[in-house]
Amino acid sequence: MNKRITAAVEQIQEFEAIQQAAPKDLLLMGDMSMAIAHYVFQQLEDKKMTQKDLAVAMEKTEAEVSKWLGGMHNLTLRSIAKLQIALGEAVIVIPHKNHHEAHAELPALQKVVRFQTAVKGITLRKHPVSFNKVTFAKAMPNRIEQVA
Amino acid sequence: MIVRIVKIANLSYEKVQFYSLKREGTPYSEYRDFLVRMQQKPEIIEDLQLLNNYIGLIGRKYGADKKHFKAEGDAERLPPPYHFVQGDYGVRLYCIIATTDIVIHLNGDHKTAEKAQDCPNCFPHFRFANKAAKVFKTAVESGFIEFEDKEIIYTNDDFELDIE
Repeated sequence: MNKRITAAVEQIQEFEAIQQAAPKDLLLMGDMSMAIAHYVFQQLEDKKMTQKDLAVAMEKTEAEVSKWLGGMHNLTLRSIAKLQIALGEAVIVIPHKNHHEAHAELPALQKVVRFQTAVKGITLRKHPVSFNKVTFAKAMPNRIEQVA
Repeated sequence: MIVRIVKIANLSYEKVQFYSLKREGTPYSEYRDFLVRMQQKPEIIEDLQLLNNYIGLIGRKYGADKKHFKAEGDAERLPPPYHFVQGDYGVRLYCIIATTDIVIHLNGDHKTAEKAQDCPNCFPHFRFANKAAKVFKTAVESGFIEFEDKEIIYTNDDFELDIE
C-alpha cells in the first residue's frame, strides 16, 4: 500500500556540546571566511567573470587564484586587497572612519554628550550650553527640532 | 546493508534541514557517530568546530549552494573548498546534497593523505558516501523518495535503502 511517510527524527546533542566549547574568535574567523567566499563567488557571477578572468585582472596565474579560492592558500590582507582591486568592489568594509577623522570629531561629540547629560528633557533655551549647533545637527539629526 | 534516513531535529534551520543515515543495528546515525568519534581527537577539535560552524551558516544564511561543498565522486564533502587548514588536511565530512534545502550528512574522519583513497581514516567513509549517494539518487529518480519543502517523504511504507 502506498503511503507518504516522513523520516524518523533524531536529536544529536553532541553538536551543541562541541560548539559551546568553541573559541569565539575561531567561529568569527569561520563566519568571515564563508562571507568573503560567498561574496566573491556572487561578484564573479554578477559580473559574469570566470576564475580565469579574475586571474587576469589580478595579474596572477589561474592556478594561484584557484589555490586562493580552493583553500590551499591563507587569504592575507594583501591578497584580499588584490581581490578588491580586481573585482572593483570592496570585499571588506571597515565600519569606522580613519583614526585622525575620528579623533578630530571627538571634542564636538563630547559636547553633545555633555549637552545630553545636562538637558535631561529640558529645552536648550532654558539651559544654554556651549556647543556648535551645526555639529549637533549632524550628530543628532533627530534632536534638532527640540533645539530650534 | 540496510540504512534508513533520519531527520536531525536540532539541525533544522531557516534555509536547510539536515538529515543523516542510520545503518540497521547500529546505535548512532552516521553523523552522530562522526561527532562522537571526532570529539575524542583533541588535535582536530578546532577543525571540527569550524566545520560545524559552516553547517550552521549554510543552514541559517547561505543555503546548500554547491559552491560551499566540494564534489567527491557522487557525493560531496565539507568543509567548503576554500577552507584553509595550516599544515594538515583537517577533517572531512561526506554528505549528499538532495536539494538546496536538504542535505544528508554521512560520516567522515581526520584526513591524513592528499587523496581520500590513500587515507585509511577517510577511505571507508568516502566509499560508503559514494555508494549511498548513488542509491539515494536512484531512489529519487524512481519516485520512492520525494521532497516537500525541507521534508524527505517516502512514497512507500516498505521503503529502505540497501547499500551493498
